[in-house]
Amino acid sequence: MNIDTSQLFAIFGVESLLGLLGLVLIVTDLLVGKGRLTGPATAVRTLAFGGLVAIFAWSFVLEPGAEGALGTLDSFALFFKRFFLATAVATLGVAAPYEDRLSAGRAEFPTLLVFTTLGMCLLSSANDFVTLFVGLELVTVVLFLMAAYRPQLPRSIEAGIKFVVIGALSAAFMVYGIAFVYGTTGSFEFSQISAVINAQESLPAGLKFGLLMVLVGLGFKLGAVPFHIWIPDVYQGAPTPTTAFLSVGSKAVGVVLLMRLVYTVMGPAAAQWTTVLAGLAALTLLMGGLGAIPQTELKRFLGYSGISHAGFLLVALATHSEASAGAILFYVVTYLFANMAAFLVIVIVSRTDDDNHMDRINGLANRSPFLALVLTTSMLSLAGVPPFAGFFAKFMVLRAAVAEPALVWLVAFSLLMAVTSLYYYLCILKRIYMRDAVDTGFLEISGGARLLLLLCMLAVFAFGIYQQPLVQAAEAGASSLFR
Amino acid sequence: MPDQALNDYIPILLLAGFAVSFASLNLIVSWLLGKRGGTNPDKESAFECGMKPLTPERRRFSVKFYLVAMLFILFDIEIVFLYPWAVTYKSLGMFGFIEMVLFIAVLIIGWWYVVAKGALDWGPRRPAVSVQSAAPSEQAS
Repeated sequence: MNIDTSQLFAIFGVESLLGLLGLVLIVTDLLVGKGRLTGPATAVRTLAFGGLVAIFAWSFVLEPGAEGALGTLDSFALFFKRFFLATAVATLGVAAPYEDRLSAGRAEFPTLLVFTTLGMCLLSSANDFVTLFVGLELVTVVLFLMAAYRPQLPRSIEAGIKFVVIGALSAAFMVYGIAFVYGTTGSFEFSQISAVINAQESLPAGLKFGLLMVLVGLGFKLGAVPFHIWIPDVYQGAPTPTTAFLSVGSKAVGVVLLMRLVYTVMGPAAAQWTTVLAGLAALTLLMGGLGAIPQTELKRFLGYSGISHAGFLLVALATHSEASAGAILFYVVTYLFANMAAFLVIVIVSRTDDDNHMDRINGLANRSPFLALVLTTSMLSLAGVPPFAGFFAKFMVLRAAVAEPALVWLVAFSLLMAVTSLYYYLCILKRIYMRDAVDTGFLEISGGARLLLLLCMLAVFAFGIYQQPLVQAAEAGASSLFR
Repeated sequence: MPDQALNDYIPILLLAGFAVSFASLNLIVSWLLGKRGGTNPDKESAFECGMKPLTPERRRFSVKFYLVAMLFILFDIEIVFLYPWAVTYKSLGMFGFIEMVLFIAVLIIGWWYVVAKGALDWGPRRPAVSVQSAAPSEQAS
């Protein structure tokens, strides 16, 4: 096999720089910290932040078009690379006020974050099952570490162990499926597999089985029912910045790979999958809509809310049209802003990581009107209330789905579940505005956190009122899947 | 063609069938031929070459063993890559050389990290990085 180095760099430029940044962070930790276990957190965090922002800015200079044996840099991949880099930058912002609670490993946290982001960017370019699997393992193994990051808290260890077991299980499904796909098509490459699939009228049983197993493996990442069991426990136990990263990043990884699988690998043959995906979507919506109601823990609550959002993403995947692919990209971006703001508020209001009971936000409007406003915006956006971006995201998904006559029942059902979910989001608002505060302490908001919260809130507003730029970016990103 | 390719998996299927039938055959035969009856403490105890167990069978290992084992695997994998590279060194040319230098450089940074953070210090003066390292008492090291 002949490998062209310059072409590889053209495809994996972002990844190479992220890898370099990760190594520089390790070396900085060692040189500045001189081997202390606590590490020079500020230096490493600042460097990681600067590096990620620089790479994020550089990714806007990149032109899509490079394609090779191991990956592709189409506009879809580029869109998600920017998305993952933005997620990583936001997670660093969420981690900054949290860092004091870590007794060790403060310098390693940004480093691990950079390496996971590297894996995620790799996944967004995958056009080969081998790249896909390597990238997925890079992402999940680092996320295991980040979930079990506070070994003195039993809950964090529990989250780590549960995540490892589920991660291993989903990887096993995945490899098993990939083996069958390879066995029946003789290739790992998406384009060749797609050619084999669409050359015949009915798929051979082995290939069907293999693709289904891959779907199951990705379902774990996305948090689709019945593969969602890990979500509440891991979300609750993991440190809050990890949960924030997990909720957006891991879900987006599932989305990226499912979109590649459904739109590129399956292609037109994916029409056979509409029932499977629609069924998964209905189950996921039901679980997300009803499971969140009895929750009293903020992070568990957001976990269930994330499941319900996974349901909407699956509705769009089941639709299988160019409009629905664009809707998914729009959806994940609005989810990023609303979710990051919510998690940052949780970090600020929770005194310790053990205590994220919903009581913490009681009477928030009196204690800090700014935080109350941010959390209100983000909850209303997650619920899909009109002036906010979340509404338009749901609207795009459903508008695309309603064009498909076979999916009208699903649209009706998802509308029903959206109304149900409004109930529990409003319960949060009730706590903010109508209950007396349990805590009375002063809420310290650092300048950086204030900026990030303001940015997220503005984005949620702005993309709700003036959607055009983001819609265009999303449609451009999605269009490269349908060539 | 695609269905033909699945034929390659037939030996695996045969092996799986053999494994299942061998295991179940042994269980059935011992159930048929074995003497059944009550239990006694000796029968319930763990098998240790026919003797009574000398020590409790659940032993705790120092976390250092796991750490060393994990690090060993890491550098073991390096050798796994180095061998085929060394064999095909001439045909890979400059590209292979640079790739391997990059690969080893990454590993050396990892090794440096391990040594500098004290993961290989077993002596009493400076505790190794372990799960306990997050406990506040060890921060001062």
